[in-house]
Amino acid sequence: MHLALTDEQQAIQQEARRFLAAEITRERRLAWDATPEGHDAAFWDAVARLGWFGFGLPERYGGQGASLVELGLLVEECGRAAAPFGVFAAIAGGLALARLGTAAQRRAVLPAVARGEAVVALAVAEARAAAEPRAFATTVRRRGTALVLDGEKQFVLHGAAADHYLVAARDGAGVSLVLVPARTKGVAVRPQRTFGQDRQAAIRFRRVALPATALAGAPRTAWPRLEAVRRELVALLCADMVGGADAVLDMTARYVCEREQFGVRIGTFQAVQAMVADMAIALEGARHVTRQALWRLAHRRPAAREVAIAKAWTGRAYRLMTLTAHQLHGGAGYVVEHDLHRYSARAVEGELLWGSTEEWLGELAGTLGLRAPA
Amino acid sequence: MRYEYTPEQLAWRDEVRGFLKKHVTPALVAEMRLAGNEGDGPLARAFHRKLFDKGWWAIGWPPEYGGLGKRAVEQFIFIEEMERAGAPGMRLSVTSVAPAIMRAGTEEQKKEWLPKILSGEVDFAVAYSEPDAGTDLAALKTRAVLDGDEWVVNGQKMWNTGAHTATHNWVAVRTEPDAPRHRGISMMIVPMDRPGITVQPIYTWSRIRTNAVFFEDVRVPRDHLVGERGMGFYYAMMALDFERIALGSVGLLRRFFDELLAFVRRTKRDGKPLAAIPWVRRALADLDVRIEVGRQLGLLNAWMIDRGEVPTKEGSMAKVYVTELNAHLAATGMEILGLAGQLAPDDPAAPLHGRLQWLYTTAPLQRFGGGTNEVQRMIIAQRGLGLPRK
Repeated sequence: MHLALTDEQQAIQQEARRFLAAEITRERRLAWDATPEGHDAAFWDAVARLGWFGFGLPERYGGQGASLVELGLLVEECGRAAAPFGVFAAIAGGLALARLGTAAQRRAVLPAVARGEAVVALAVAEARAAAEPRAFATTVRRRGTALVLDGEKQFVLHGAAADHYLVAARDGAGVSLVLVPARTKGVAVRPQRTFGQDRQAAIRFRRVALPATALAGAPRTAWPRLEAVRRELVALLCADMVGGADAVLDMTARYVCEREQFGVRIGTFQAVQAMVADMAIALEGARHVTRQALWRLAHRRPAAREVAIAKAWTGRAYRLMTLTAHQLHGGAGYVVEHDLHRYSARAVEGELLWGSTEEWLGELAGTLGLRAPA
Repeated sequence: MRYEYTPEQLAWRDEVRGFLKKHVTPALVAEMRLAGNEGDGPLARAFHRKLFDKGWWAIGWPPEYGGLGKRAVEQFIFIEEMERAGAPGMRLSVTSVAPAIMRAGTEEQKKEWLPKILSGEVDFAVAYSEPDAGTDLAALKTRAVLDGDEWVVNGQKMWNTGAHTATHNWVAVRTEPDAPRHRGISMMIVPMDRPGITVQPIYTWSRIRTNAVFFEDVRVPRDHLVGERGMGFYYAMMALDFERIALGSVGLLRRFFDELLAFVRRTKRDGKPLAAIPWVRRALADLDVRIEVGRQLGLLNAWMIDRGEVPTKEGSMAKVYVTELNAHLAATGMEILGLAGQLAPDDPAAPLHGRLQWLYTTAPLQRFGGGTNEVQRMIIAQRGLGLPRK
C-alpha cells in the first residue's frame, strides 16, 4: 500500500495544471462557447505539442506509452480545469483504437492521433440501446468480401470533429467493430446539443461500403473486448470527475472564506462547515476508489468490481458536490460568467456517460453472486 | 503508487486470518453475542490469552516495551481481520492508554505501568466525560488537590465504561484551577480499589453497560499523575488519536455485509428469491460501494500515520464516514430482513441472530462518541480546508 505520487507523476500533474491555467482564460472560454468545436485550433495545437494525445499510446505508434495511472493524472487535470471535453474524447478514442484495432489500423491511424492531427471517436450507443448489443439497430453485412454498414450511432463524443469512427455493429448473432473514415460515402453527421455543450454527435451510416480490412479484430466477438476497454475508459472518466470535483471543492472553500453576511464570513457558520466537510469526504473517497481502479487496470489485476465502485461512487459524489457548491455560492455561482455551471453540467454528463450510477450498481450486484431476476 | 497490500502485508494478513480461523470458534462468537460484545466472558478471556501467548496483545507497541512494533497499516489489517472474524475487541488499555503513557510518561512511569498493562495485571477504564463536560471536555470539574504525597480527588465522571471491571481508571482531573481551562487539566491513574470510589451502573440502549463514577476524597499517590501537570487535555486528545487507526476499519461492516449477502442468497419472500428483487440487489451493491469507500478512507489515515504525517483531517473523515455508514448498513440490512428484522437477538427465529439490531443500537454511540461527528466536520472544515473559526 503506497498512496503517494512519484516525483515524475507529480511533475505530470504540475505541468498540466500550469498549462491549462495559463491557456484557459475567461475570455477564451467565452469565445469557445460560440464555436461549433468548443475550442480553437491554437489551443488544440498547443495540447498536441505537449504530446497529450499520444501520452497513453504505444511508443511504436508515436505515443509515449504512459500507463493508465499516469494518463489518469493528466485527465484529472483536464477535469480540474474543465478543459474542452474534446481533449478527453480524443484521448479516449485513441486509446480505444490502440486496444481494439488491428496492427494495420493502428499503424495507419495512431501516429496522426498521437500528433493531434486525427481524432478517433468510439461509436457504441444508439437512440434505443447503450449496453445491450442484441438491441443494436446498427448492422454490418457481407457483400462478397466487402462489408456494408447501416444504422445510426448517437452520443458520439466529439463526433462532429472526428476523422474515424470505431463503430460497434450487430453482425449476425454477435457484434463486430469496424473502423470507418469520416469522409466515407454514406456517412452523415448531425451534431447533438447537450447540456454540457461538449459537442456530441449522431452519426448516420447509410449503406456504407467498407473493405474487409475495416474490421477491427475478429468478427462477431468484439463485445467482451469492447467491455474491457469500456472499463478502462470509465476509470479515466472517473479521473476527469475527480479533478472537477476537486476544483469545485476548492472554489467553494475559497468562496465561503471570503463572502461576508451578518458581518461575518459565512465559512464560520457550522452548517456551512458541515456541508463543506461532507464535500471533502465524498471527494477523498472518489479520489482513492478511482486511483485504485486505474492502478489495478494498469497492473493487470482483476478490476471489474473496482471500476464499478469507482463509477458508481464518483459520478454521484461529483454531481451532488456541484449542487452543494451552488447552494453555498448562492447568486455568485449562478451567473453564466462563473465557471461553476460548467462543472455542474459536466458532472451530470459524467454520471450518465458509459453507464450511470444505477447501471453500474446493477453491474456490481451481478458480481455479488446474486442470481439475476428472470 | 500502489493500491494493493505489499507481499509482506499480505503475508501478515494471511497469518492473522489463519490464527483467527482457528481460534475464533462459533462458541466464542455466540458468547460475545450474549455478552453484548463486551468480550468479558470466559471464552473471550481465553481468546485474549491466546493473543497474548502469540505475542499479538500489543502489536503496535515498540519492541522495547514488549510489542511487535507493527506499523499503522499492519495494525489496520489486524483490526480489519479481527472485526471481520468476529473476534473480541482489543482493550483500551493497550490501544489507547499505554501509547499515551509511552509518549507523555516519565521513565519511572513507563517502567511501572507498561509491563503491567502488557501482562493484563492492570486494565484501564477511561474517565474523561462528566455531567457537564462532554464534547467540551475542557469544562470538566473533577478536581485533584495535592495533600502531602497524595492527590485528593473529588468529583463525578460519566460514561466510564468498564469501570466496574477495570483495575484502574485513566482520569482527567483539574489540578490547576487558576490556569486557562485547557491548561489546568492533568491525567491521573486512579486504582479502583481506593476508598471513596462509587461505581453506579448505567444501562444503554445497546445493552452495553457503562457507569457513573463518584470520587469522594479519593487519595492517589503523587506519582500517579502522568507526565506534566496541566498537560492532561493534550494527552487525552493524544490518546484519542491512537484510537484512530481503528476508526476507519470497515471489518465489522464487511462481516455484516457478508452475512446479509448470504441471507439474501438463501432466502425467498413472496415466492421469489430475495436476490431477484431489484431494490434488494441495488441496496446490496450500494452498500458494497460505500464500504469500499470507507476502507479507502481508513487506509489513507493509517498510511499517513506510517509516513509520519498527522492525519487530522483524514482521521476525522474516516470517523464521520464509517460511523454514519454503520447506521446506514444496519437500517438497510434490517429493511432487507423485512418484518423479521425486528426480532430480538434472543428470539430463536431472529435472522443473523438479531445482530443488525445490535449494530443499529450501537450506531448512535459511534456517531456521538469519540468526538461527535459535528465536531469532526468542523475539524475537517477548519483544519483541513482552512475555513475560519470566527
